[in-house]
Amino acid sequence: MTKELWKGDYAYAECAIRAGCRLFAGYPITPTTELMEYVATHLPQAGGHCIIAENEANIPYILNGAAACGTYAFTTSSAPGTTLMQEGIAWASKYDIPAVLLHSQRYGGATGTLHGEGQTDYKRDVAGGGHGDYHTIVFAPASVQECVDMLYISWELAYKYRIWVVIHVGRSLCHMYEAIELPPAKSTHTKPEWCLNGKYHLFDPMCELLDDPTAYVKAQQERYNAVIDNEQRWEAGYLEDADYVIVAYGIPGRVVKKAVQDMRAAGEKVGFIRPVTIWPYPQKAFDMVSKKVKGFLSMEINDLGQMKKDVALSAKLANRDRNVLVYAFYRGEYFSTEEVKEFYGRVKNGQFEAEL
Amino acid sequence: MAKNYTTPTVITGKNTYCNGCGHSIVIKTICQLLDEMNLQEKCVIVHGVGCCTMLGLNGIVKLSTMHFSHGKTMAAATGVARCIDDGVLVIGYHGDGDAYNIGFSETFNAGYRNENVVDIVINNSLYGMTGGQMSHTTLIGEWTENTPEGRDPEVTGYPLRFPEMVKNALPHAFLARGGVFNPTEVRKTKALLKHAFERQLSRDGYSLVEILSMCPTNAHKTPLEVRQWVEDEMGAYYKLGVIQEGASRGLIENF
Repeated sequence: MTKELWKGDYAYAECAIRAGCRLFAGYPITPTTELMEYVATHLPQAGGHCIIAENEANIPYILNGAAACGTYAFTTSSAPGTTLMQEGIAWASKYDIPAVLLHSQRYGGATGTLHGEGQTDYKRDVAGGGHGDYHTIVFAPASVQECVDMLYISWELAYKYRIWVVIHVGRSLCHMYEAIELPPAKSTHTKPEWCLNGKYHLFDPMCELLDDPTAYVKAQQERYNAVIDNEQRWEAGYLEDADYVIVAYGIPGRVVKKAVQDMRAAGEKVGFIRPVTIWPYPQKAFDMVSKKVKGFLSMEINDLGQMKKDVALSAKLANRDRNVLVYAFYRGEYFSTEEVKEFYGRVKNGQFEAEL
Repeated sequence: MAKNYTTPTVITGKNTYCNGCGHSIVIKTICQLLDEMNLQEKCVIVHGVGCCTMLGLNGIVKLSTMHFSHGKTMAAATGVARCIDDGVLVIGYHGDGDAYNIGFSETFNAGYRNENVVDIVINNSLYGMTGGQMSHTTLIGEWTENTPEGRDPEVTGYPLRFPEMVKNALPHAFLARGGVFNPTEVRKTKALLKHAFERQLSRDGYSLVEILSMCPTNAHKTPLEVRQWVEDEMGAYYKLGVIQEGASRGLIENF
């Protein structure tokens, strides 16, 4: 297939339609507004519904109603909007309702800024901002192509596990243009037997299992353990003999990969892990790292450091017999390959204190 | 000719509502209509949070029901109405607090987009499940748990007549108010609901039927006393009958 030049927002909208999405509810917000505009033009032509919602807080409920009928439902927003959506996403988890959210962060809290990239919602997207014990699959693609590929399979995964799937990107992946291959349009999917059709149907798993409440808990644990076992995704390199491994996701992950390639060419024993799912976190990648590794370097673009704790946890789980140190770099703007190399150099020379 | 009254077929569980509660009467009425219109297997009721929750979660009815968070009832009903199979009745069922307080935006916007849903609002002038607090429909001077001196409209606003308020903004909507405080009104309310159901099945869009209802427990009255209070006091402020027979689908010139 030939590659075409697509703007991120438009590519994801087109991809969603090809993946079988037939209900979208959205609200204008930079940088995802154009995605909704494309959907508003093209989804009705494909026989779907594009609902211009009154606010973000109601959108997950519109999606949940649609998804309860077996329809592939989709929305997109940026940080101030996705914050409003947290309740609806958490609520869906109680009723096993699957839908997809593409969250494009801006840097910072409140209104945020539009000029920079940010990974300031890592902890919120990974932990989930709603109440109750639940998880969503969280993809963290680093290119328009990867985002298209992850989005295309999101509804299959959402319906397989009956949980929401969140695509976690930054502003740039919505607005940048890249040469990509779009996947083919899927034929309509079979509606699952659990979906609403008008007939009596107990849509509350808790009620069904009230005779044996422990069965509900067990089912939840089994479901999420299956996701953790089966759905970790990552890109990694040079792990087998690495003294140090640098971990970063999204666009920063691409910068780290290039820096590591350069340093390897110069003889440095350094590797990289680029998480493509940040929930479940790619523990399996950490398990593949040399057991003689001296430390992990965590790099992210936010002010307080959010992913660093997950790097530390994964480092600990992969090296139970000793305390592998984690060196954390975090700053609210892009870093360059030179800055990656400089950070690595300072860690290697003992000039940068391990935070975790 | 003697008429044989039987329990509607889809009422299969124990009634967990308080003695004298209006919910019981409304639910029975809805279920009678579903039997008469043969819609027992072609109906989805999305209910909110409050005493209305018991409709779905207590196994009272053998109907397809869905439950979402407080106020979000009509947002979820929107999603269902867009995606459910043709010919399936989609009903939102909630109290005045769920519909007009926390759910004001959702309730209004389902009507604003003329979604194909029937919105049934059980108006008992307060939040029942949480013990009787003021809602938008609490009457002036009415005692509630958080208006112990009686509702002062200068501080809290005036009781909300929602159907009347929105009719100019929702030209297609069927808007009506009924009551279940005496048998005559129950019959009239049943007719209003039937009309709302028929409009939806003709894909005529949004209907809202507000139903004045009794809450003896939080009114601290006997069932007979509160039924009289609803008829006299609520009935004086909230007018019964059809408030708007909505226009059929189609562009409205010179709106």
